[in-house]
Amino acid sequence: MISPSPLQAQSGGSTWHFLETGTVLVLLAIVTVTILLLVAVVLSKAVRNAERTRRKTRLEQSVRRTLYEGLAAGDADWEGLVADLSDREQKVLVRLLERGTELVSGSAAEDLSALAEAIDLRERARTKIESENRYERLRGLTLFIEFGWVADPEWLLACTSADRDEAEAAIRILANDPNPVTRLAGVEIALRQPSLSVYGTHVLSDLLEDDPEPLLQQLDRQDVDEPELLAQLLRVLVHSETATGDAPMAGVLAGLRHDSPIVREAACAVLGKYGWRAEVRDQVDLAVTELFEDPAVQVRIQAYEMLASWGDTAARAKLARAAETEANPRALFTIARGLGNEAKLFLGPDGTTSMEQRYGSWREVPELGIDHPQRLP
Amino acid sequence: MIRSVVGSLVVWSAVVVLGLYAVINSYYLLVHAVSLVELRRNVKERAVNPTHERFESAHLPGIAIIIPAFNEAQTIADNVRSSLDQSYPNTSVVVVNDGSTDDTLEVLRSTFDLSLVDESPPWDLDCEPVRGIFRSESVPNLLVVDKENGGKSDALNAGIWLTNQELFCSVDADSLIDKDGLWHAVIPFLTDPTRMKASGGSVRVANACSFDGSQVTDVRVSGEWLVGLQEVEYLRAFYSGRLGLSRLGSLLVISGTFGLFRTESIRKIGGYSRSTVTEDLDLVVRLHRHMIDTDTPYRISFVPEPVVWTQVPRTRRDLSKQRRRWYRGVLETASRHRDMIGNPRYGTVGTLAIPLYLLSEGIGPLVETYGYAIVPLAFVFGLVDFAFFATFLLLIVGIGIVLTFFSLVSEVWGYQRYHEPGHIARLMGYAVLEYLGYRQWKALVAFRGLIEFLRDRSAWGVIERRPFEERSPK
Repeated sequence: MISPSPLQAQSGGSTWHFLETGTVLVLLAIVTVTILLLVAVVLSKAVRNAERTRRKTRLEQSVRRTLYEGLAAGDADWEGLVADLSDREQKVLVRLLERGTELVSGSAAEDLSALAEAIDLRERARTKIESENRYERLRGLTLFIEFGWVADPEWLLACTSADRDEAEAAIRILANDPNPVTRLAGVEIALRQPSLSVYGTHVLSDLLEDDPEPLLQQLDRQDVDEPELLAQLLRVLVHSETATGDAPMAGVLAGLRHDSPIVREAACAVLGKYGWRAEVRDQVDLAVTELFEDPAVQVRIQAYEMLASWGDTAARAKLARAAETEANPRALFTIARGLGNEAKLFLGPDGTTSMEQRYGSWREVPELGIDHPQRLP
Repeated sequence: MIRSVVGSLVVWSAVVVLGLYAVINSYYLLVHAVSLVELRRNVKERAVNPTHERFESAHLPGIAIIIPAFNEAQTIADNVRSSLDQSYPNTSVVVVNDGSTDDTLEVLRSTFDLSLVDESPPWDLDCEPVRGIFRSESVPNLLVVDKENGGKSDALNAGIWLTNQELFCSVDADSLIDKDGLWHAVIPFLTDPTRMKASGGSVRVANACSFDGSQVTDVRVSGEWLVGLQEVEYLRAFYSGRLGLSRLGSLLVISGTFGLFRTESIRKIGGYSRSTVTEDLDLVVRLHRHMIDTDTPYRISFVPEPVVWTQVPRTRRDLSKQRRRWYRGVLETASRHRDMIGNPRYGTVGTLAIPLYLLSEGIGPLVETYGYAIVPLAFVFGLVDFAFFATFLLLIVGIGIVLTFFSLVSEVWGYQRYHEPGHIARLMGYAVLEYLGYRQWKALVAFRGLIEFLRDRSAWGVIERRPFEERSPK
C-alpha cells in the first residue's frame, strides 16, 4: 500500500506533488504484475481443474464398471480384479473406496468392504488413525465408519485426541459393535467433552439405542457439571429404548430441578418415556407444581408433553389443572393435544370458545413442526 | 487568493478521498486474505470430517423454510419444489402469500392441491390479518398462509410466528436452493447447537444457468454484460467478503435470499423490522445487539457452499432500483444503530464491523463518486500531478481488480462451480470491465440512494422476474 507521505508544494505553488513519479510507477508495476500473476494462476488452475475432472471422470467410469461387474458376479475374485487394474486405476479405486459406501448400498456395500480389505485399505486406515496429523486421523476414522469396521475401544481411546470431532467419530465406530464394553467406552468418551455436537448426540444414541443403562448409571452419579452436556446426554435417552428393570433414574429426576432450563426441559422429555414406573410418577408429582410455574415456556410445554405421553387419568387431571392457569398459546395448544376430547370442556385463550374449537383443526398438522407424541381421542 | 483557497480545498478533499480508499482497500484486502485461508480450511474439513457427513436422526433440528411471496406467480412453483426437494430430512415449507394481486395463490393451489386447514392460525401471528391457512393434499410438509399485504418483513414474521420448528430458513421466492443447500447451511447449528443463532450461505446468479426441474445442472456465466458484472459482484461479496467477515466475527449481513436462523432468538428480538428496506441487514445487527445486551454467548456464521441461485436484474432500471434500496438500507441501519458505532460495549461488532461496513458500503460509494468527479478535474487543471492521479486510479481500479481476482482464486481453489475455463476467463473480463463505466454508474446510483434516504423514501420497487424453465437448454 502507499504510505501517506506529506504533501509537498511545488516551487511554483499551484501543483501539488504526492509521491515521486518513480515511486508511483513502481507501485503501478507491482499492481500490474500482481494482476497478471493472478490471471495466470487462476486460468492455469481452471484449465488444470477442467482437465483433471475430464480425466477423473473417464478413469472413474472405467473403475466403476469393473466394480459393478465384480459386484454383479456375486462372489468376485477381488484380488484378481485389482491386479488387472493399472496403477492409475488402482489409485482411483482407492479414492472411490475412500469415499466409501456412497457408491452402493445394502449387501453390495458389504462386498465393497471385502474389496477394501483385499487392497489393505483397513490397514491403511489404522495407520492413518495412529498418525500425528488430525486430518489423517479423521480420514482413517471416516474409513472405519464408512465400511462398518469394528475397532478395539482401548486402541481407539489411545489413538484419538481430545478433539471433539475425533471423539464423536470414535463413538460412531463403537456403535458398529454395540456391547456392554463399547457402550461404557462411548459414554466415557462423551463425558470427556464439555459438550457434543448434534452428530455426537446422534451417534451416542445409536450406540445406546438398545440399552441406555450405562448412561443412566453415569447420570446417577450427578457429576456432569456442564448444563449443555447434561441436556445433550438426557436427549440421548429420549431417543433410546426405555431401560428395562430398575435402572437408576435419580440423575434424570434431579434434572427437573436443575438451574438450567435446557436441562429441565430435557429431563421432562426423558421422563415422558418412563411413566410406566410408579416411583418415577411419584417423584415427578412432587415437582409438577414447580414445572407448571416454570418461567421458561419450553419447560412447561415439555412438562405437558410428558403428561400427555403418560395419558392416564391422573396425568389428564394435571393437564386439566394446567389448562386453567396456562396463558401461553403454544403451551395451551400442547395441553389441548394432551387432553384430546376433553379439550372441549375448557375455554381457549380468548375466553369465549373451547380449546377444542380453537385448536381442533390444528391437532394433526405436522407441518407446524410439532411431532411429539400426542394422545388422540 | 480565491483560486488558491479553492485549489487547496480540492486538493485536500482529493487527499481525503485517497486516504479513505487506502483504509477501505486495506480492510478489503484483510477480509479477502482471511477468506482465502478460511475457504481452504472449510474445503479440507468437509472432505475428511465424518461429523460433516449427512445422517438421518431424530436429533436433527426441524427447519421451516419460509418463503414470502408477493406477485411471484412466475417462479413460485419452481421455488417451492426446490425447497421441498432438499436432502435435509426434517423440514416443512411455509409459503406466505403476502396479498399478491397476481395468480400466486392460484398457482400454488393448482400445483400443490391445497386445502384449507383453518381461516385463523392456532395462535396470534405478529403480522397483517390472515385470510386462511392451507396444507397440501399431495405433498407432505407444505403450508400456505394467505394474508393481507404487509411487505416482505411482515410475511416472514407470519411464518416465524406460525412455525414451531427450532430453526427457520428465509428464502426469496425468485430463488432456487441446491439440493444439499440446507444440509450445508445447518452444519454450524449442528456443531455448536447452543450458541449458533444464524448462518448464511452463498448466493449465485442463476440467469444463464440450466435447470433440471428445480435444480441447477449447468453453471454458466451470462453473455449479457449487466448480468455478468453482477455475477462477479456476487462472487466477490459472498466467497471473499462474507466468509472473511464471518471468520473475523464481523458478519453483519445474512442475505435475505437465503439465511438460517434460530426461531426463538428471532422471535425474542421481535422478528423482522417492517420499517426498513433492508430487513436482512437490520435483523443481523439487532441480533448482535440483543445477544451482547443480554450477555448471551452466541455465534453468527457464514458457510461458503450452501448455494442458492437467484435471478438478478437484467435492466439498468431494475438494477438501479435494487441498488438504491440496498444503499438506503445501509444508511438506515447505520442511523438506527448509531449508538453501536465505535461503542466498545459492542466489542468487535461495535468497534470494527459496523464502522468499517459503514465506511466501505455507506461512505465508500459517495467518496468514490466525489473522487471520480474531483480527481480528474484537479489533474486537468493542474492542481495535482500525474503521480496523484495515477495513485487514485491504482487504488480504485488496480486494487479493485486484484480483490475481484482473489475471489476467482477462491472459486478455482474452492468448490469450482464453473467447470469451463472459458467461463472463468469471461468472469475475469467482467472484473476488468466493471471499472469501465459500471462502477462509476453504481457510484451515481448510490448518490441517488442518498438523496432518497434524505427524502425518507422507502419504496421497494418492482423487479421483472421470469420463470426458471425459460432458460433451460433446448
